[in-house]
Amino acid sequence: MTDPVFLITSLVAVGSAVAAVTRRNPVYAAVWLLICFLSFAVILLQMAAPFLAAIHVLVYTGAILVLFVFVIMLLNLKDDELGEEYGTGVWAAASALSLGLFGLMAWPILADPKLSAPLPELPADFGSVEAVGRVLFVEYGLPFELVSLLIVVAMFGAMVLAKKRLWA
Amino acid sequence: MTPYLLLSAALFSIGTFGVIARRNILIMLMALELMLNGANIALVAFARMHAAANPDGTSTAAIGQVFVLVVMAVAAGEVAVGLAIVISLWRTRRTVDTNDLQMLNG
Amino acid sequence: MSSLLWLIPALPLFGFLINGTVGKRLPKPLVGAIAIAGPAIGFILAIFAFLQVHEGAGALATYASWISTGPLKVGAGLQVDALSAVMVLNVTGVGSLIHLYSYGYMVDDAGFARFMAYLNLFMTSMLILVMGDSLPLLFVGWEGVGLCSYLLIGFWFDDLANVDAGRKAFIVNRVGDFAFLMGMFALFALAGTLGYSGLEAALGHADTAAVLTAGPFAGFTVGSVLTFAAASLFIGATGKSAQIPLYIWLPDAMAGPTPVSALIHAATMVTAGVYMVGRLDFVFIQAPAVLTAMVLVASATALLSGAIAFSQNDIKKVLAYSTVSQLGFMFAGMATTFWASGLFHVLTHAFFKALLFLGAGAVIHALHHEQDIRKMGGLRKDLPLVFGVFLIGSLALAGVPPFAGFWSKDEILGNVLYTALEGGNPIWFLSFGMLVLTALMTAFYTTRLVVLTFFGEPADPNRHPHTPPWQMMVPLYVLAVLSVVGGFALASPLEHFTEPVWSHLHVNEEMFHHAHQVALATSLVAVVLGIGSAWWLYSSGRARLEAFVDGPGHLIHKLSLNKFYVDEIYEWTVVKPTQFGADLLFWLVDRLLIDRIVVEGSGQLALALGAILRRGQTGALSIGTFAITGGTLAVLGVLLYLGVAHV
Repeated sequence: MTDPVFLITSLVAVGSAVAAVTRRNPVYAAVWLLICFLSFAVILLQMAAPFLAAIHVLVYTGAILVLFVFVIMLLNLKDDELGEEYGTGVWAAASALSLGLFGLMAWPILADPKLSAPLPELPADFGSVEAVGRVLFVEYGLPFELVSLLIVVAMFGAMVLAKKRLWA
Repeated sequence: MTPYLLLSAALFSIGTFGVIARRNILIMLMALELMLNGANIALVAFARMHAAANPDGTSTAAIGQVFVLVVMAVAAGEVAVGLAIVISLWRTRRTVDTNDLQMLNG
Repeated sequence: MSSLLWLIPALPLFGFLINGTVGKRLPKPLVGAIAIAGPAIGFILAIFAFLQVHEGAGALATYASWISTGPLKVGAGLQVDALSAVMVLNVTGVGSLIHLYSYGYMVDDAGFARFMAYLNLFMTSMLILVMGDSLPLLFVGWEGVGLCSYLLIGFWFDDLANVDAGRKAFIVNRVGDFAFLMGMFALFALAGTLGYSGLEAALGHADTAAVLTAGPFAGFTVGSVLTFAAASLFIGATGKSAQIPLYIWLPDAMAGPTPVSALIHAATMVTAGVYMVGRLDFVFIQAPAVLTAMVLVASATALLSGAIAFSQNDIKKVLAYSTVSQLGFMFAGMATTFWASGLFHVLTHAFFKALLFLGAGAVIHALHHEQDIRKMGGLRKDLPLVFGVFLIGSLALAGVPPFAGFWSKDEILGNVLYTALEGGNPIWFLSFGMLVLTALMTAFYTTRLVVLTFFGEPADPNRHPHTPPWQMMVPLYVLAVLSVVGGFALASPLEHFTEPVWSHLHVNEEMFHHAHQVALATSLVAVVLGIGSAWWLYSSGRARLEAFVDGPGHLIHKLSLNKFYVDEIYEWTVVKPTQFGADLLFWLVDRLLIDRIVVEGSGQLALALGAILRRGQTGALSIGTFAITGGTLAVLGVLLYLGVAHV
């Protein structure tokens, strides 16, 4: 699997992700995250999920990141309001933990021969809107409804939490 | 398959690093999104791995992709509530540093 | 008839339900009518049942399955055979009369409806007791009458003494009930059933030498288990029927209203133990050691309580101790296995003791609740009719021919002597001696009671006794007639009638006849001596009496007056140690172990643990996330190392 497109996009994704979590200012972090999400969309396209790629762009960049930026603007944090960050020692420890986590996940991935087997032939409509929609609405109708309920609750929750004086 | 899963693991680990090493609550939430995306990539990858055609030509193995949709919905809800909490914290305590939020100290 | 059997216990139950719920709002005559209707109609039905049994057909009806678990199957069924028929007639007959009497006695009491309701509930329980077709049903009635007894002894519950008396009766009875249950369990272990017919089929002719191989009594012989069962059941009977060592509750039970004393604590409930022994005759007859113990206990009880009755000054206490004494006679009769003689005494005693109690009640009622016989005297002129019936009852109790008590008491004495002669066992001779002595004492204290109450001069010349109403007098007349004719009219028919239940084994006719003649002669002598000495001592003022009490009779009088210190002995041997043990448990187990160590200790432990664990709750998010990640890593690493996560 030495697809050059994948190689580049994945390098961009990892690099921008690292940049996003290490920026001090949230605005910069959000911008790096934007790049990261866009490269995700490309990766999704490569994995035969065109519908998901579109949704990903819509939801993550169109909704979630905009929300982040909106909140960042709303708070309008000055430099001294960003708060302290940990020193090198903590970062080193966190890096060690994260690398350990990656190692523990990579070990079985690399060790399993089934994962390196060639991928099966793709059905014609795999990942299309119709295919995903049929599964979602026919087989997973109830979970779908539950998720919509969850979103309604989250919506009300966000309003209740963010409102200035709720009962006034 | 392997590179996709390695990428997924890498993004998850970077997200973990962000959550545990940072003190700015906004960055922590972004790192959380990264972790979710890492998991999403693994789901999509497995869906691709098990892609198969039904006798009638339609494909059923898009289940993994449906899961991703559900995860996205949950992530959206989580961000909405999380950011609302951030706003309300900022209003009441004027901080985004989690180390200033230790009222649950036993 | 079988289909109507259930009405006999159910009718009083209806009365109880009506009077117990809305009785307070109904007019008093209606309450009385409802209450009396139950036992009265029951009595009529009982006559039909009796006639049916007399023609040779018993009545038996199972209405429902009550308990069905594993091998234990108990039906809710009623049966009437000769024994039950006699008991039902006795209970409903005397019960109806006493219900009528109670109307006159209690109508002015504030708790009149409650009283009648309790009486009806008692009738129901007692009828279930004697009509049930299995031991569990008998036990239902057994506990039911115990409950009613408790409720009625403490009927005037605003006086603490009455409540204490009720409690004493209840607790003492529980001791007996425990033994009764043990006996019942033992019988179940042997026979695997608790219905009378099943029990008799399984145990009636058991091989007593056979050794049990299974069950809780494995390794014991059938005979020893039967003896255990019979002994336990008899201990149960000593509770309900007031024998040594559990008789102490009955005299205190006189705290209840007088009709209660007559119905429950003289005529019916206290004979439940006698009934039970007769019902389980096939068990007792196979446990001769228990029968010997029974006659000894019974005659000792008769003697002791007769001696206590000597010097009691409360008219009801005298009669109460006399009841205990007469119950001893009944058990002695049962112990001879001439069961009919015991039942005969149950009947005659019900007649004359109910009569005496009701007569005493009439006296108490007339004297505005005065119970001390020293303050009576001379009532012969004021209450001539009451005097007449009371005298008849006394003659019957004292055993003067031809009154009822004479016949049954003589029968028992004769049977005891016959058994003594037949077996040659000194214990039976001793018992016979004690019973004869008791007959003398009975005549003595009965005469004393009559003389002090009705003869002599009034203690208070200004009193105005009021004549009892007709509702009180009619039962007295009926019972008086029964006390006169009940003896010779029933003596031989009863034995014939109960033959299907109790067929007695071979009797040495000549010896039997001889024993009864000797017994008749000695008891007549005893009665004459008793009446004569009491008359001599009490009839002419207090001079002779005081000379006797200060002189030769000092010790016996003192012992008798203090009831032979039995209550005090129990106080120091049973009550005090129990209280001490309870105190010990209270301070050691409850206060120290439970309160201090378990309850407060667990709280302190939680506090101490919390003080340590709260240091882990820093509230810092980073520490938490670090810990979670580290923990995840550790678990993941271990799982991978063990190969669990490998596909």
